[in-house]
Amino acid sequence: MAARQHSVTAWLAQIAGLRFGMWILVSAWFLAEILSHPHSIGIGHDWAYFTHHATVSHLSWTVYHQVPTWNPYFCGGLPVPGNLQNNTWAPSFLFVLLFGVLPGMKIAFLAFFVAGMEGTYRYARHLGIRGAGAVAAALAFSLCGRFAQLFQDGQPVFLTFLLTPWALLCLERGFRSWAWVAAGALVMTVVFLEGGAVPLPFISILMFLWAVIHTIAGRFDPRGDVAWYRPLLALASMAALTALLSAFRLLPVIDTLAHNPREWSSTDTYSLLYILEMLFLRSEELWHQGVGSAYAGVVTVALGLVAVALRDRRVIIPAVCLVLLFDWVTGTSQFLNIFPLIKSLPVLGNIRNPYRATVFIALMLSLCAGCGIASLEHRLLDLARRLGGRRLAAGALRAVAFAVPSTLALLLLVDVAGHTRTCLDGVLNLRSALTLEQPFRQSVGNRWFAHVWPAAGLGSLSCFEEQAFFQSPRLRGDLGQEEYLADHRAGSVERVSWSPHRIELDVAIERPTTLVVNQNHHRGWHASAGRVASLDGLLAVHLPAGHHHLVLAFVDPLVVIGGIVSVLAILGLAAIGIVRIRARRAAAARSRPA
Amino acid sequence: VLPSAHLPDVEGWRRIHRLLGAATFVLPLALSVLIVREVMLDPPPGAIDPPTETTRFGLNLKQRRVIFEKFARPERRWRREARMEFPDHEWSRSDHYFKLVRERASRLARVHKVHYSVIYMIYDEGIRRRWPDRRGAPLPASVPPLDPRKE
Repeated sequence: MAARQHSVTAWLAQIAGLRFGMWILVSAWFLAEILSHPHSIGIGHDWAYFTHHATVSHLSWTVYHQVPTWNPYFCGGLPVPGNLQNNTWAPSFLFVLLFGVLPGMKIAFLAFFVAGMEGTYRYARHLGIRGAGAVAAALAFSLCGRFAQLFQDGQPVFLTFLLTPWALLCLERGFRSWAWVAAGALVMTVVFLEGGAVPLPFISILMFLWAVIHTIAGRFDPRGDVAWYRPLLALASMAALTALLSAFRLLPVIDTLAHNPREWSSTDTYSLLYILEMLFLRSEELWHQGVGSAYAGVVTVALGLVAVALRDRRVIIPAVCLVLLFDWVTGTSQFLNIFPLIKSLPVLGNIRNPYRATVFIALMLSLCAGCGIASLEHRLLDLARRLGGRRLAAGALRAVAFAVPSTLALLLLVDVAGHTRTCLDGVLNLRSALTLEQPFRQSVGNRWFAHVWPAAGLGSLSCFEEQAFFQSPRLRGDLGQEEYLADHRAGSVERVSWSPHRIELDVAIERPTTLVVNQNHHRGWHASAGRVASLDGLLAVHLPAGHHHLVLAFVDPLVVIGGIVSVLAILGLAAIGIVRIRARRAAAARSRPA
Repeated sequence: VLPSAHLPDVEGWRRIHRLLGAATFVLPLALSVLIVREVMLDPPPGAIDPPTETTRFGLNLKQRRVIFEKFARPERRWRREARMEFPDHEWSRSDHYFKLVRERASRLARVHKVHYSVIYMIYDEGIRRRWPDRRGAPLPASVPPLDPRKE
């Protein structure tokens, strides 16, 4: 690469403070509608659903000072870490704890966009795309249609796809360095904790394809210095480390998936033409599979073609991946049948909506567009270098080499975000629910406005989850007392205190009987007296006669075991990191002249 | 922080370079503070009025009964509609019914100029107190267990 030092756009883009400033400014502009309505949600069901879960966990942390592992406010009681859709344990939940449920969620959205732009920029730099090209790739991917459409649908979990470039960066660097394998495991742990049934399997599949492509490409690269098995070894190591780091969530998730699998028997098929319409047509139609819902921009394609025309070799791998991705997103109708192959794998049998992988197509196209801009800049700078003797002409050409890539990056931003940002217009049109302080009890509720109930101290028996979690048919939404005796003539029950994970009761009974709690039974419930049991699926305690100060506490053993594994994994990683840093410093000190 | 590969190898230059690098971080920091401040300025919607001797949720009993009756009026029609929509799937029938309830709640909130949370609290109160619907029966207080559709 000639004339590397002359690229002004590269120099500017490498100034971290400026770059982050730009990411924040662009993200804030893109999310202006979201950030200016901090206490509102959209009308779509999923807004209510995710707000419900965030509200419950927020209540658990801030009001009851308990680690949220049980949600008594939905379906009569659900496990929290075992629910794939729940993101209570995710890093982004810190914003919810700091700033409140809805404002915290909005600030977390902004943080995701900034992380996505920086990740794409760094990955582009890793591929050798620099300056305006890398910036353009970052903006085109992060502001593509899929990341705008999710606000219409109310599915913030899909923002996790913004971490895809970080995952690919760690994987590729992990071919040569174990430190990057560890970093990749951290990224994938975050992806897992951020929740949703889609991002983790989709990103994992992409990484597998990536590793396979690199393994094959490595065989044909005469300058390749990576052993053929390293891509797949890096991926496998990353997966194993991710499993250890996230064990506190992984074990409960495996348990719930085994007992309440997410079942989906329909086949999803989309024509190639329809996928192209999703990616390249602008439309007012705002639904998750609609035309333009994955808008990646026509300028992006044009700039990618510039890279091809300039014979930029960096587009080869993204281009190969594009072919595979187009086959994947069309579902079951195309020639390689990647999606049916994915569905035939053990854990992925119920995966659906292959069109969501259009987000990866947007990433590949953005990288190709970045290549186009970077190649053009490189050619112009190279020409300026050759004109070295003629200073005026060379200077003018350098100015052009700054202006043209910058303008093209801006054009790309206007084309992509200019359209996708309109998807956010008026999207948050529902003020959040009002709060009401009252003792907890179950109500019939309504899952379509799921956020209403926990704010008012009520559980909603009407509920929806992607998995068929167990729900007792004997739950009721009209009880005078949530804790009662099966034989009501045997004595009396009085609630002393209530919190999601601990219920204290005074029970006075003349003969042995069963205490019933109007919540689902779960193995995590323990009682200070008697024996915990399931009464038609309701939480129940068989008690002997007498006066009992009964404490019911929820501690899921799988979360505890998983937690120990996760803590050990984190400590182990930290110890290895410290040892390596010390060894490196010692080596540096030894090599320094006396 | 700043690309330094092509700066002159002079200590003074290096110091300026470090200073400039640190200074640029003021930009994202200031922007973050500004945005968070702007987001936090908006007041939250608040709480439902606490009960008094004559009111609950800010409405007297008569007003609440009127709202509940309006709520319960189309109940049987909704159940019928849900049965036609999902004849073979009990959970989906119930779910469809609750979707219609939501639409009704939003409309009643507009008509009575109260927050939708208040409408839902009245709905809950009516079920709990077994206020009768048009035909004299209370609304059901239980739901079929969760059974999401598989296609």
